[in-house]
Order: sequence, then structure tokens, then C-alpha cells
Amino acid sequence: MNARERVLCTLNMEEPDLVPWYSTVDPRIFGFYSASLGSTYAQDATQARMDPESDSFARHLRVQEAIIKMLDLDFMNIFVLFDPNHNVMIDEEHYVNEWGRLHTTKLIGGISDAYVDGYLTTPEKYREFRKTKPTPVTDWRMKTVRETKKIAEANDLFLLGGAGSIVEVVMEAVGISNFCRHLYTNPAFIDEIIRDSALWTLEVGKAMADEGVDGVVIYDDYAFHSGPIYSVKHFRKHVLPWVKRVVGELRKRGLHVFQHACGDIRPLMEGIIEAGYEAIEPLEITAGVTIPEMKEKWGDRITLIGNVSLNTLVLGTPEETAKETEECIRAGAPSGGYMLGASHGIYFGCKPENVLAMASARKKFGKYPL
Amino acid sequence: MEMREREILNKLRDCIVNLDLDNIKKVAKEAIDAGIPAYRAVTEGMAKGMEIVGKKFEDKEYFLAELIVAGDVMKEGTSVLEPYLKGESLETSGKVVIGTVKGDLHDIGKNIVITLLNAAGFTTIDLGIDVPAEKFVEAVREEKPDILGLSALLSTCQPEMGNVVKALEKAGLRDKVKIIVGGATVTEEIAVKVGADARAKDAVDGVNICNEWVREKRGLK
Repeated sequence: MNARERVLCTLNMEEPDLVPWYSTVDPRIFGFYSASLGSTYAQDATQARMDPESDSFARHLRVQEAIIKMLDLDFMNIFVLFDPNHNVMIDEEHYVNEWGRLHTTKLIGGISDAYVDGYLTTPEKYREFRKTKPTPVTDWRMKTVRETKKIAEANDLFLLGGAGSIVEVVMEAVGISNFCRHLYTNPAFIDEIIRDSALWTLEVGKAMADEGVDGVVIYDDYAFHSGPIYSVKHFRKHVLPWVKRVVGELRKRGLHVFQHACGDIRPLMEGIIEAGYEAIEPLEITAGVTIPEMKEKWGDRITLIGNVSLNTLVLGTPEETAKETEECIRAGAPSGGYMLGASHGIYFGCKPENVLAMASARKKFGKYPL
Repeated sequence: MEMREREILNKLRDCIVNLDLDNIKKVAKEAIDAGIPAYRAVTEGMAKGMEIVGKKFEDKEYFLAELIVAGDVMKEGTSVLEPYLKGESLETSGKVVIGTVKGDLHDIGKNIVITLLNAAGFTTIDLGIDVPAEKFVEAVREEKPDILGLSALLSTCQPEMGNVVKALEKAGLRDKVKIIVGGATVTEEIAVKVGADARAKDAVDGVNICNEWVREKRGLK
């Protein structure tokens, strides 16, 4: 099987030839780029500085391709959540992005362009900002999709586009604490911002479908490691209706739709599955999410991805990493429905020998029949 | 205690528990008009409500959203009572210096902890994010807190927590302060490894631990 076939087979809840591997990997782990080139673990900051039709972006894609080949990853990810052409500097070190999130350009711990706080702190500010918000289907976004697709096709990879976010990013744009307050003091505003965000994500998803991507991922952190940010009642009332609509419409277009949701999402799993998501990642083990429990409760209804601890990848040994990889595979992979991954993006700070150990363990323990 | 007094203190408590932003100020005023000392309105009314909110969070009946709104209700109530607190004894629960360690810029969890500590009567000093060990040492030396809180989300920054502990040892200050660590990837094992006194599994747990420590220190256990 090629990578794309392997992923499709797993999404279909069948056993492929090998457990697929879904991870985003910071190239600096393996010596690509210098440490001073700030990058978030999703690499979007690095990519964001590049014109998708430029030589530097072409080189960046070749770096991603090299990582994919080295580790035998099965996905080509398209990171287009934030179009950098619409960043507005508000002082020397901070900018507001197209969603209204406040970011810093300062490099801290190898990460740049990090989110600082919400900028659209009042409904008035939000509505004023929206008047200037560009169309979601920007040139930068679509050109990035097209250029990335060439690499995916050349390597038979599953092409997964980051379509957007229904609640997380707009929650961050107004400020998480403000969002929580509005749930009680101004729920109509919550509905307004989620609607806008959902329709935005739907437009990007549709455009990606037209470009021929295999699937899209929607980024929505509903929870911290201690549990959901808001109650199941609030999730079902304000968030889920829009999630169902967006996921439903994108699936009708032939897309496979993945959910990215960090933290302890277990109380929300029934809703996530009801919405029509086919796969969920990253399954944070430090939030108490484990493959055995997830497999038992929901493994026949949604493909599980992830769970190898970043603590191990950063602080552990290759032996510990291999053991954890084996455990995840043994718990998740029988009968299909599991893809290997880490408990979040494999970022700069993970030891290269541990990432390689994960690759070896996957080959050793992840071949079907298990 | 008079029935009327108890009734009003319970109403204050219930405003917090029921996240009643609409009525808290009115009830706080009622407390003042009834002659209830402001500090009792805070400690025996609203603070009791925050304890119940904390318990509901632990029981997964309340979530972060409710913690934040409860904190807001408490703030609104305190704004009415504050002018009457001058001259009254409102003993602080304790002093906490807190920050996100060097190399990490995540602070949502830390900021929630600060909100809850303040609501629980602690005095907090927030050192911000990306805080080097020297700055923690200086703050412990200058502020003489009861507790030092270290926050980190990134696994790569956990060793920095150990650096802070070592720096305090070197400065002869380690035994002057209790250290609590927290963050999404911080486990019990890591807390032991870095030399902390405890790990907070979430914000409410952190406040409970801090309360426990202060009670022990004052011999109130």
C-alpha cells in the first residue's frame, strides 16, 4: 500500500499493511534550519514568512519531504491557518493576525509568532475588526495548497489541509476569559462569533476540496488537561450545531475530516463523534487520555491518532520511546482504526534519537497482521 | 449569630455559587446596611461560595468558564465591600510569587491560578512569562512569600524548574519558601525530580494545596 491508501484504509476501520503515522515534525530537530529561525511546532510561522511561489518555499517543501521520507510519515500537511499577509503590527513586538489574535514576534524558547492574548476584547471591537477581515480564500492560502499538493502527489501521501477552526481560534481572538464570561453574560455574542468562524472554516474547506485535498483538519482545543473549558451543556448548545454543519457539508464534498482537539476531551467525545469527525488527534496522555480507554469507548466509531508522550520524546530515552510506541500500537491498532502520533506536534526540543526510535518501533510492532 | 446575618451571608455565598453577577452588588450592599463587618461578608459569605465552586470544579460539575465567572462575581462583590474593609482586619491568606519559567510563554493556566488565589484571599505577585531563575530568587528574597509557584507547559522547560530550585538552594533561600509546580505536561514524577514540594494537577488543586500549606504554617491544622 502507499501512504494514501494506508490512511484511507485505516479511516475505513480496516486493517492496512502498516499502522499509519500522523505527526507534524519540526525540521530543526534533524538539523534543518538554525535554532534561531523561530517556528511553532506546527511550522506555520516558518512557512508563513514565505511566498508559496518562491524558491524559499520550494526549499521548505523539500525539507518537509525529506523529513517525511526519513521517518516514513504518511501525511503531507498544509499549514494555512493564519495568512501572514494580513498581520497588522500594533507595536514593535506585537501584531494582530487575520483572526484578531494578538501575537508576539519575540523568540521565546525557540518559538516565535506565539499567541499572547485576545485583541478583540469587546463585541464592538470584534464587529469593527470584522469589517476589515479579508475573505478566507486568499491567494496565499490557495497557492500554498497547490504547491504542497505537488509534493503529496509525487509521494502518494495523504494530503491534509488545515481548514480552520470553529471555536478555538475565535475564542482566543476575544480572549479565553472573555469568552467564558460571555457564555453567561452575552451568549448571543458567542453564537455570533462561532457562526462567523464556522462559515469561514467552511469556505476554506470547500476551496480545499475544489483543489483536490484528501482531507481537512479543524483545530479546536475545547479542553485543557484538567478537562473541558466549558460544560458539555454549553458545548452542545453553542458549538456542536455549527461543528455538525461544517463537518457534514465538507464530508458531502468527499473530504475526510479530522478533529484536532487537545486536552481532556473525553466528556465531549460523544458530541465530536455525533458531529461526523472521522478521526481525532492528538490524544494527550498527560491529560489522562489513554488509548485503551479511547479504544474501548469510541474506537469503533472514530479513528484514534496519537498519544505517545511528548514528555518521553523530550526528556526520555529511545528505549522508553520505543516501549510507549509499542504500547500505543498494541492498544490501538488491532482491527485498524489507529494511527501513530505524538501527544502533540513533535516540536523542537524532542530528541532526534527518540523520534527515530518511534519510527523503528512502528516498523517493528505496527505491521499487520499484528 | 442573628438569623438575618446568616441569611445575608448565605445569599452572598449563593451569589458566588450560582454565578449571579446581576445581584451580587445588591446583596453586598445589603450586608453593609445590615451592619455585617465587611471582612465577614468576604470570608464567611463570598469565600465560602468560592470553596463550593472549587468543589464543583473538582466534581466536574463546573468548568473553567464557571471558575472565571465566579471570580468575576467575587470581584464585583469585593468592589462594594472594599471601602468598608479599611481599618478592618482582613488577614491575607498568604503571599504567593508565581511565574512561567524561562523558555516558556504559556500563561493561561498561571493566570487562572492567580485569579483563584486572589479570590481565596492570597496576595499574589505575578512575574510574568519567560522568567529566569535569578528573577525568581530575587523575588523570593525581596517579597518573602510563603509560596513560590512555577508554571510550564512545554516539556523542554521542565528542567528549568529544577534550575530555579537549585538557584534558591544556592542563595540559601530554599527552606524559606514552599514550591508548587504546575502545567499541562508536569506530572508528580517531574515535581519530585525538580525538587518541588508539590504539583498542582489543576488550578483548584493548586489553591487547595496553598491553603493547606498556609494552615500548617500557622498551626491551624
